[in-house]
Amino acid sequence: MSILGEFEQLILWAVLRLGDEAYGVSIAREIEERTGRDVSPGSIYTALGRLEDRGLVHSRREGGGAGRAGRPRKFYRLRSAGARSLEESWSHLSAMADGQIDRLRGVGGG
Amino acid sequence: MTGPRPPAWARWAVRLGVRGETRDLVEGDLEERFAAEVARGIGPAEARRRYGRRALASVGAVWRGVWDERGRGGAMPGWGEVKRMVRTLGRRPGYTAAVTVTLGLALGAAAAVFSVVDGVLLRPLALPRPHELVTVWMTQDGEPTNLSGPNGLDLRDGVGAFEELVLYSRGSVLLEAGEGPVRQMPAVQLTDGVFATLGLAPAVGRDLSPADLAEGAPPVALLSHGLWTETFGGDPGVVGRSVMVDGRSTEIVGIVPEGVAVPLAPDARVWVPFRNEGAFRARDLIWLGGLARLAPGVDVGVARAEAESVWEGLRDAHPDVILDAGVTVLPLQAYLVDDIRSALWLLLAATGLLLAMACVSVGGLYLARGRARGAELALRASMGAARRRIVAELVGEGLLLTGAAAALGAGVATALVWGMRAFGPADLPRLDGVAVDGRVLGVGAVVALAVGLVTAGIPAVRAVAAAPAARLVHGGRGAVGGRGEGRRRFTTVGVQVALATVLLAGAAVLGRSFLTLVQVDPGYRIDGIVTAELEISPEVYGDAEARRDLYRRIQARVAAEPGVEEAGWALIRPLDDSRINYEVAVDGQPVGAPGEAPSADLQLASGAYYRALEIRLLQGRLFEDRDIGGPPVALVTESLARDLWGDVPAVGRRIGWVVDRADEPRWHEVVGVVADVKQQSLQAETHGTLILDFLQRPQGGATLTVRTSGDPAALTRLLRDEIPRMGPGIPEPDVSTLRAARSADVAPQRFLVLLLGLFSGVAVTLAAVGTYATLAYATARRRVEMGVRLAVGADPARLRSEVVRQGMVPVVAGLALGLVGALGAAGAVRGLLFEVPARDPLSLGLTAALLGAVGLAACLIPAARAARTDPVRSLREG
Repeated sequence: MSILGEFEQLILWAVLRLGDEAYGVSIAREIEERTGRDVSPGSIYTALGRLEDRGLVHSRREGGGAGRAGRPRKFYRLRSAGARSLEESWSHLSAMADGQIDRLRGVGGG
Repeated sequence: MTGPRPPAWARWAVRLGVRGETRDLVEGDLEERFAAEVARGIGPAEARRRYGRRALASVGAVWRGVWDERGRGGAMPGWGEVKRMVRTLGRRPGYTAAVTVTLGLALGAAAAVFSVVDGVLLRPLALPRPHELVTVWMTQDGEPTNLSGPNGLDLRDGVGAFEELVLYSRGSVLLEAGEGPVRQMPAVQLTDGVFATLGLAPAVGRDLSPADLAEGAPPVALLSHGLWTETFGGDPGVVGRSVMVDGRSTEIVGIVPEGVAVPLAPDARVWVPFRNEGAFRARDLIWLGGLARLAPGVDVGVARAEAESVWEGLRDAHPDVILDAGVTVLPLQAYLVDDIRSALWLLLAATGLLLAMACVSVGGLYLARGRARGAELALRASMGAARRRIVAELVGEGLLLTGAAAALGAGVATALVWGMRAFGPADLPRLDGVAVDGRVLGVGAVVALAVGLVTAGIPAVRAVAAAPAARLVHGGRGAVGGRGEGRRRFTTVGVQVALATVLLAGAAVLGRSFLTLVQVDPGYRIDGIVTAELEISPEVYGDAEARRDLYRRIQARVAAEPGVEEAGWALIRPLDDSRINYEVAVDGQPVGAPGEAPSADLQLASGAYYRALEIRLLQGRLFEDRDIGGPPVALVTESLARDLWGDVPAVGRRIGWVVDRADEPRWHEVVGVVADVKQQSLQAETHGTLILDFLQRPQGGATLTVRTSGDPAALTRLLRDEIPRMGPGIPEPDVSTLRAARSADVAPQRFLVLLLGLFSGVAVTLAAVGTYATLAYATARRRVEMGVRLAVGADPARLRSEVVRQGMVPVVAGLALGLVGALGAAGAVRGLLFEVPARDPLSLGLTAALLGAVGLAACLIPAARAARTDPVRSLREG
């Protein structure tokens, strides 16, 4: 089972949410709207390239779209191994976090 | 397309920084988001800012990714990791300091010596088209010697390969400018065309012209830039004005440009044309240097061949003078640095050895550190960190340390170069221009990078190559690092000892040579001798009687000074490399055939000179006052007496010397024989010398040699102050001591020995530390075993000797290898030695003894510790 980094998890969640519409710009927007993090296309493609090498996503290339100066787009979908990895990462996290969020907020006050 | 555009630089950054399909995708995304954000009314400036930020972040991410792929899931260490490495290293100050100092010293030494080699040997002279500049020499028995005036002029006119040729002779002049005092100045006499030869123009005024050399031409002079600024405030109007040179009103016609390392007479302050004196016209008087510029595109070999053919013509025209002499043409730069070349290459080789040793030492430290972290590395490897990533991290740490070492090395190099310039031999050519500059630092950085990659890379690969799981289980000890690894570690010790042996052997033999040299008995006294070189105005002291009177008054004045034991005059003081050589005839016979007639060096001195220097009188008597005005008398040195008369007593024989073969020899009666002395240099061969009575033939320049039982410094002040007051036209003399002269005489050897001694000291220390560390580590790993053996009754003394044996095997092997290497490298030092063989058994023996003792001491500490192992504790902790 592959261990997923935090950024990789964010991307996989975005790919899952976007369904057939997951490509660089839409993934970046999805992450930005939900987390407030501005992510660069370079880091998205680097991470997706690595996830694809590990067999967690697969991609499909399409010709240009609006405002892209004729550049192509690449759409991504989760593969079953990717889905399993993401689910396991989430269950680990949520199991550890279970019931702790209130206490976590209390830590800051000292 | 209208409307706002993304920043062009950002587009270029992506185009240059991202490759292949990813570039298209990234560009598409950037453009799409830019267009969308502009459409959303986010403002063109903000949209452009975001585009730029995302573009740079993309390039960074892709590059990290590229490293990733090369590292198979590792990553290029980012800034955060560098900071972490710095913190990790900071927690191990001893290790960090050991690596940094070891590498820093070696890199610094290498950079310093390289900068000297670069500045002195490699860099072209700071003159236009320096490769065209050559020196021209007469040769006798294959050795270059000076030219005579007529021969030099014939070569200048006859050899088409020479575009220009200037003849010169160093000397000194008396200069009086305005109301100032008369001063003695280093000078050079020249033919015309010196600026054309050098390829320069005068700073102000003109070059010397052929008319300046013509008979009866008004006297002219060029001034050095330094003299011009100091004495005339750099006033260009000085050209055309007159100064007194050697008592004659002389017009200043030009100023030599500043900062020109004039190869023919670097210290000359006044440049004058040859006066039309007999010496310049005498074909058999060899006293001139020749400097020529080759015509463009002409090879030195071609010029030499042409000069040789012109020389054949001269030989036919003047068979009595030239006979078996030849001619040669040598590149100027090679000639300038000839003496020092082998010494500098030797030093560079020594720093290379030192650097190699430092690499071996530091490699060993890295290896030990990699092993100490074995458990941690194994843990990380088992958790999925790629080996390559760990290697990258270890190498990164090594490069970080190398970077610190390089910075330290730059400081060490700067300090060493400063020291070399301050304490190096004064006559090492071009040393003033040597500096640790960008070129040296650039080469140093490349070497440091290579050193860092090699020293850190090999141990890093090795550290992770061993099975990580085994390390984890055994806590970094035990099964891993068995016999093979132990052998490697001890091989490292052997290599270190071998390299240190070669360095130390070289330093030892050069050191012994130096000690031999400074202990050489020159044949005269050195302590308490002060010399005052003086040149007096030929106008004021035109006749011999006036000169003799002045010299006797000065001598009497100085001899009356308390503490002064003796004071006498001579033409050439000891340890001055000037030589005057004449052919001699004996006992009324005509002078022999050219090339067969005996020759002798000529000295003029008074009797008191020999008493002052305590030079032994072997037969007869010294010169006395009664000789003044009497028949011409001479002394000969013992070797000249032996050469001329064998065992027959020389006193009473007649000896004559000739300037011109056509003339009758000038006959003198030998009144005494004095001991041979080291006249030109402690290293110079002894030349048979004919000594004439200085007071019979008082010259325009001479040296007063004074023996004092008092303070030489006080006497120095007195000579400088009092002598100019003894009459008009007397400058302040050039006062020095024979101690200083001896120190300058051996300065090149001292320089070499000091540096090599320093380097070999560092090398021996590294070898000792390496031996100690390796053995200490090996013994520490055997603690449990030792503890068990002691617990069951083993003899501690046996354990101790066992450990010493284990440590001494690589030391002895390295020593043997190093001695073989030193014997093989003996050729490199042979030319630099004085009366010591290059394969000197004593030096090699001392080297072996010292390194053996140091190695043994390094082994004894861990051995003693092993023998004291507390069985209970070792078992508990093990």
